[in-house]
Amino acid sequence: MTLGLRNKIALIVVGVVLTGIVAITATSSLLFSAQYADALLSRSHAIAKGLSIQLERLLALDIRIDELVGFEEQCIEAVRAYEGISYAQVVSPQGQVLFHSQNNRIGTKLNLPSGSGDDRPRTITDNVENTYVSIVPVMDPAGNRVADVWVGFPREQIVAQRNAMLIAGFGVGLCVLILGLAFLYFTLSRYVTGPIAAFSRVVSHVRDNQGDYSLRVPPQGDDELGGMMQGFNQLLDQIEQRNRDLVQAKEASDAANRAKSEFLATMSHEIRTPMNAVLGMNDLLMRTELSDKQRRYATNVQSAGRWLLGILNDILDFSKIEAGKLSLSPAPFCVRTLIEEAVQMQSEMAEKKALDMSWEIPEDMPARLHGDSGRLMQMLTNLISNAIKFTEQGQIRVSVSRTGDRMVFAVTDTGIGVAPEIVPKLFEPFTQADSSTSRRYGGTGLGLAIVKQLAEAMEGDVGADSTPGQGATFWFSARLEVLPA
Amino acid sequence: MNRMIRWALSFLAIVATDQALAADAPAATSSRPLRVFHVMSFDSPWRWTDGQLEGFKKGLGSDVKVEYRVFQMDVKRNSTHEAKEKKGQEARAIIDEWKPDLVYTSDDDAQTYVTKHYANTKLPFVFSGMNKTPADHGLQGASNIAGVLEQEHFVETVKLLQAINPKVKRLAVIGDDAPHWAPVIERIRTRMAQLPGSTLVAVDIVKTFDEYKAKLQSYPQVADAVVQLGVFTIKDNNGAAVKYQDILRWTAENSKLPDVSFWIDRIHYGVLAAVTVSEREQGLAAGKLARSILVDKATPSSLPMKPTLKGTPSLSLARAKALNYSIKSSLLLSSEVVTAYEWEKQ
Repeated sequence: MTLGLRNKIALIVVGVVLTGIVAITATSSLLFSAQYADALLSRSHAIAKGLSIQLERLLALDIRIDELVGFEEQCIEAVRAYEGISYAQVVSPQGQVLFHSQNNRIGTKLNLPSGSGDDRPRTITDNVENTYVSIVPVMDPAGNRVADVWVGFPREQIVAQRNAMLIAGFGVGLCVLILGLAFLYFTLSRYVTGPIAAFSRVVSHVRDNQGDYSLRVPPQGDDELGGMMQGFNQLLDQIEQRNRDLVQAKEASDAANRAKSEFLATMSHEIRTPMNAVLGMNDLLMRTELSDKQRRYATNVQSAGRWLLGILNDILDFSKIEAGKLSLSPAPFCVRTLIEEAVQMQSEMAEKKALDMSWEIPEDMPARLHGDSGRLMQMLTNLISNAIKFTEQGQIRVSVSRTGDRMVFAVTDTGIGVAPEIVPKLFEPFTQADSSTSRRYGGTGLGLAIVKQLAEAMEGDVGADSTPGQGATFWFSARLEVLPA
Repeated sequence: MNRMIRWALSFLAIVATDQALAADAPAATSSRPLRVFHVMSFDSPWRWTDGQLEGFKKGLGSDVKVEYRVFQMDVKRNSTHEAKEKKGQEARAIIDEWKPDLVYTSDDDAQTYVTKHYANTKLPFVFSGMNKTPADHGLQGASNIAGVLEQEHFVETVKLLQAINPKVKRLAVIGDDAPHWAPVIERIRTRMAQLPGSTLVAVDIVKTFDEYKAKLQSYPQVADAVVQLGVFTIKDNNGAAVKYQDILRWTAENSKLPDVSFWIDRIHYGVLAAVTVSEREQGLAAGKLARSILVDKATPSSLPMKPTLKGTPSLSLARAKALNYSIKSSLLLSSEVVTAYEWEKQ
């Protein structure tokens, strides 16, 4: 169970206050019990002393203690006047009860406690009556002890008072605690958890509605929480403003990018047309009678022209994709034929570098698929030409496999390889491993970007697994419908 | 020459004296002690009279400088009208000669023979211990007279006696023929109504000791207890005054009945019990009235004439033993207890 902030604070307060109540009540009760016992002892001693003085006043009238009449009334009055006193009695030195606050006790004989001949006041515990007893001697005018006044009070009274104190202390403490908690609950709700809940709602809204920073925390007081909420609102204002700026900047950037792409597409198209004408004328030229020198020149022109046309085609494709004008043309095709043709198209270049090229199609691979085989061919030739470009010796192997509903095409080489951290950059447009690569191996850096965008257009993905110096495997996947054989 | 010198010296002396008197007169009026003349109906030393004067001085206050002069009419011995009148004249002569600022009179005879003569004069009078009413003395409404009435605590006294001996129901009252007992007897008759179950079986005024003895010896047949008023004017067979102390001793030694009275002095002389009228309270109240007149400049007639209310339970333990009474501890503790007869102390 998750406790809210308010409940946590309330629990902490309850713990602290309860501990305080228990400590204070227990301490107070113990102190009170001790003081109450002292007070009762003092009181009983004072009563005993008072009765003793009365007796001594009577003895001073030249009346013997055994001649006194009706002193039990004084004992009764003492018990009646002072709450908590059990009894008062006058006891002869022989233990005979001469007067008692209970008439039926007069004349009884007591077992006197040790030290009963002591002429000094003292306190004893009467286990029979379960009382504390104050004993004060009564002296006749000649200074002889003629009796003792005993005043007792029950021991349970101290326990009862202590328990009453405990109950009262806890009761009052709990009442205070309940009232305090109610007040704390109200004040926390009003001044702490309420504002925090409002803050939490806004945070949740921002979290659940990405990019929507329109909601604000309602204004709070001038305290720390109010300051925090105000700061948060200001932060949201800034984020919202920055977001608007970013959107505007992105829109401007996109517009510029589109203009650039359109420009490139237009330019590529405009250049490709005369370039085709140049290549066509140069092809026608090469079919005429030419000297060796002229044929070499024409061959160079043809080679350079084709290279330039490839670049123009890349730029045009990339521009179309960027401009969102790329469209796929799916149709049934044979995967084996596709791979064979792709390898065949690049075999001449591989042979020039004495690279061994091979391909592999698993037996369970469907023979016929439905997709844009032209674009698949473009993607494969891009990867194969890159492999040839970056491999000086060894082999290049083309493979295809099936993973779920996607076909994975991979080109593995034994070339220079690439560091794993650079792999993601390779699929960004106009990016190569480093500037020296661009200088050494040439290329526009658009090939892999085009592969990536085409793979994404086919609901697939691209990637590379490589270790520098140990070759690389570049792959792409595409969702291709399997057709019956 | 010598005559001239003597004449000159005499002239200077007269002038100096006059100057001195002229200069001292206002100072003497304001700085000389106040003069208070106290006329006792009875005599001193005696608890009753001395206690009243002591209370008076206390009530007047120690901050007031007072010169006291005391006159005793001693009506126990001067018990005839002529004797009392003579003592009254002597007291009045002193008043006229000494010119006190206030006269304090105690008990009834002083009112009859002194105070009454100054009613409605400028000289302020304060009395205490008056058993009769102010009207009886012709003092009612007098502009210059204030005082404290003495009204005995009869009901409380009888209840105290009944606490000692619950069997006491029938009461006999006895006293001498002094006129101030008449209002006391009247009040006793009236207040019997507050003692349901008790009856007043005899009220006897006696003049001789023999008559007194006879009454006391006859009471056991008709009464359970005796109420002693005062026996100050009792005479023997020869017409000579018998000391009241002797009469009370005889009573203690011969009477088989318990008796009560209203004054502490009687307890010392063997009367069993009394809720006494405190002579000191009487004097204290009178002293406060005097202070109101002399210090606060109150008009005497504006001060109410009221009895004192505080009574003191008193017991004679010697008499209780003689009567074979065991008195409850609570009574002994709440009472002024006289343990021995006065004559045994001497």
